[in-house]
Amino acid sequence: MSAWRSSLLASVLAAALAACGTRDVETHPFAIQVTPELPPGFDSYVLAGTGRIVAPTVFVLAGVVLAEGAAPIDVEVRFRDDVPGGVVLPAQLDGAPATLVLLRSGGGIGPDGEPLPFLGLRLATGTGAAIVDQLILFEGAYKGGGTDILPITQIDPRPDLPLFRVREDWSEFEPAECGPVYYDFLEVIGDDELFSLRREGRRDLTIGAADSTPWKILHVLSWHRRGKCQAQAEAWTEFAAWR
Amino acid sequence: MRPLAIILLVLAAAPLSGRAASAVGAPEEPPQQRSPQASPQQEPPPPPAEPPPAKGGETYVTGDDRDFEPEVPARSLALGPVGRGDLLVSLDLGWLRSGLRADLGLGSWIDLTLRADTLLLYDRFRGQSGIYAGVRASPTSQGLFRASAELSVGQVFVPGDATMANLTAFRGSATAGLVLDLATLYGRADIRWVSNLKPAGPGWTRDAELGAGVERAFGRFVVGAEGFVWARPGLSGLGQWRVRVGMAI
Repeated sequence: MSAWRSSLLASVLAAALAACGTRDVETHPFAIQVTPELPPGFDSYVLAGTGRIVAPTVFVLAGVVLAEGAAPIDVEVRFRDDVPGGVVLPAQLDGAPATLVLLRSGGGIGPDGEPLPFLGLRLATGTGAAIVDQLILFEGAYKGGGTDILPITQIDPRPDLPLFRVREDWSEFEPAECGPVYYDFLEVIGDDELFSLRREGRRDLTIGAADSTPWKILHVLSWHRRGKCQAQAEAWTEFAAWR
Repeated sequence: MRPLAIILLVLAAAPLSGRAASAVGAPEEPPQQRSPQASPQQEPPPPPAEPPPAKGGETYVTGDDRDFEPEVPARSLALGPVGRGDLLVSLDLGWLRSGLRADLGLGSWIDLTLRADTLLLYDRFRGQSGIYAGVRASPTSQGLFRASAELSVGQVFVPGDATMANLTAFRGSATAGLVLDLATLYGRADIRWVSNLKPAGPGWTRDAELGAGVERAFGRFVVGAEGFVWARPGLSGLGQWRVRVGMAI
């Protein structure tokens, strides 16, 4: 075989091997952070105070009393602002009496195996019995094989909260390095309505009275892996809802 | 008058046959200049009589032209058609998908297509594997420029942890290319819809392929290579390739 033919064959083989590209799913968690550190030993927290929006994704709940007789403190909650869909804090939370529900992760991990202190939060205007939920954030390594309702709306449940469930799907995937990653969908359950959202899918949902403010639901992303590298999570789901 | 008549008869017969010329003592040509028709062993049959000229200069085609050869279009895996009753079987090896395909000619420009593919090089048979049946139309099957369109329907299978997931798929494809002496160059655009058809499910998802390739036919065989971009809504494209080998049966 002549030299130029050998070179040509080598170039073609090199190009073909280089073209065997893989790509992992791009995941941008909310990565909820809370300061100061809340007392350990609880799966969830329900805190009341006065809300203040410091930045589009930074919220301060002022005057929180963590234990009876303890001095009031300010609790700051922040989440990342690079999540697809542009989730921000609803303006009605600024300056209003507010209630914060936080759901601890309990040793959970993020999509790349990083620690995940909190699975989600709910923010509502009002305190006590007269509260109206305004924002729901949730994320975690939940697979869609089961039929469990995701826990973010199961803590301190109220009738105007939608229910969420992640469902496995196999129609769309990313060819990741250690095996395909399949995009799953989010099932949303209202009063008399049930629908599904693919990644970055949005839809409004009205629960309760017809004139109540509808929820805007954003399914950021859900996936499950068939083969994973090292500490990667086997599954992930992430969504938001706000009014 | 009698010798003159003999001479006139000989002159009239001389152009028709060298043998006749030799019989009357005409000088022989040198061997190297002898016409092949001059040999008695190689004398060809007399040419067919030409049809009488038509009135008004019209020409009639009698249909018994033994030199006529119908034009056979160059075989093409991407563009088709394979020809009525013919079968073209091909193997694709590529990233991400590899597969087998059979094109059966239903008519002069309509093919029945059967195809099976899997993620062989990437995930062997553990990922999405599919079977499809469809129809390809190649209305411009002659000449330099060719084009074809294909519609197919199929099932995609994905082995799960405990069960096999089934998806329904539809695919539409359009291909256009130039058939040159050296090779066939073409461009291809595909769009595919896939769904699990579950009630209250997320509905159809779609992806697309946009690419270009080259092919060459060697007798019954066709070899080709293709590069394309796999595109999906909301996601950046991913480069893919495949090499193809086909054989007409």
